[in-house]
Amino acid sequence: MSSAAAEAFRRWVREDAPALPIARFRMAFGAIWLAYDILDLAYSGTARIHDWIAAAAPSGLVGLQLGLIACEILMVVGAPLGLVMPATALAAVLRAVEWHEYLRLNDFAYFAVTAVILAHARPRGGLFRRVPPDERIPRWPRDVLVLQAAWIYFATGLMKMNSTWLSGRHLYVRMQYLRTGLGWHFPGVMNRCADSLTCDATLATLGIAGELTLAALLVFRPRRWLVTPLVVGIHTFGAFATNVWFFGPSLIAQVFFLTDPTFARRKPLPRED
Amino acid sequence: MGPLDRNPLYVAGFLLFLIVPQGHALAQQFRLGYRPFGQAPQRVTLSWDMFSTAISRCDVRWDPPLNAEGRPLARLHDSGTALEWDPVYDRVEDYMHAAEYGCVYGRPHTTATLQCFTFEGEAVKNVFRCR
Repeated sequence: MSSAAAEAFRRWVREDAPALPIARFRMAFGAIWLAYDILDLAYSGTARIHDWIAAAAPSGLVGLQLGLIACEILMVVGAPLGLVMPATALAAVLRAVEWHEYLRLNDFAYFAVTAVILAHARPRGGLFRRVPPDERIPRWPRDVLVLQAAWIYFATGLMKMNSTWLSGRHLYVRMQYLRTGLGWHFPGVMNRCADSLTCDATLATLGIAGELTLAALLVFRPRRWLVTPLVVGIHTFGAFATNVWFFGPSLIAQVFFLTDPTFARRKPLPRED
Repeated sequence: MGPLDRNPLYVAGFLLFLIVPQGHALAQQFRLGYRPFGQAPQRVTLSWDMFSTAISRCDVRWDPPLNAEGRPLARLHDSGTALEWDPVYDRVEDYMHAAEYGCVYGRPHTTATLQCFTFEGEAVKNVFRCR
């Protein structure tokens, strides 16, 4: 690394950012996945996907879910501060174990990666305690979370650039299954679209365009008013076309809170001579 | 995290911890044959391949319903929830195995029906009697 790049990197690591939007994202992320894990535990969701005939959830999985719920409560409450960061890191580990042992979901991999980055952000405050308005914390975890989201949208957009997705057949399969297998009733226009491979292909192409545009915006122009409608649109369509309901809100929260306008006002650092 | 999060070496190491596995996963997709505008990717951890692989889906039903550990199960979907947690497979063969496995919990002469939608864009129906 050249000395100029090394110096720029050192300055970036020392740079501060407002704590409030990161605290809000930590609360939202914790709350979304807390709801997920409570419902998952109550309805044996992951357990039944792991083994759909078994009467009871494996005790190991229940233990992991209870651990995740405890960690997520701490993330939402934001106190005691000394426990929040270890709890966030522990949540990443527990989710990775759940992924490895029980269900290899991209959602779980996303959770683990996001939580391990979030564990490095240390805003004070939470549900019952306001974040001091002038509090500042290291900026890099926020930047890494934004870049990680950009990478996810870029990679998933790139992976979708294949003959099956572009032909509309992937969406066709999913929407036909939701209608036939789960008895979903889409609105008239969406019903007609589900039956038409041409329409499915158009939606599929728009999906890729949306994801790649969002990735580029998050890297080059992470402005909330630009990225929020796009991320909400992508995941609202995704929820109804793919029956995935928690992954989307989590990424919407990540994009919304971490593109808070206050991040654009960077505070110059004194030179380190 | 304390002062570690101000240490450039630690942060650089942490970034490598994030970048290396995700970069390796993307490279793995290319090694497995994925090409832009060509072959679909496969499931590779951390390559963010969600909704991009070639999948088929089947609605699996048993008539009369199975007695699965005390629960009546008329459809594979009945073991999951209406939203989010739905037991699914990606290949018709896996659904066939699930339907046959379910027969173990069925009464004699139980009929299994699979209504499948394949990534070739076809709808296929398969009916068999449990042995």
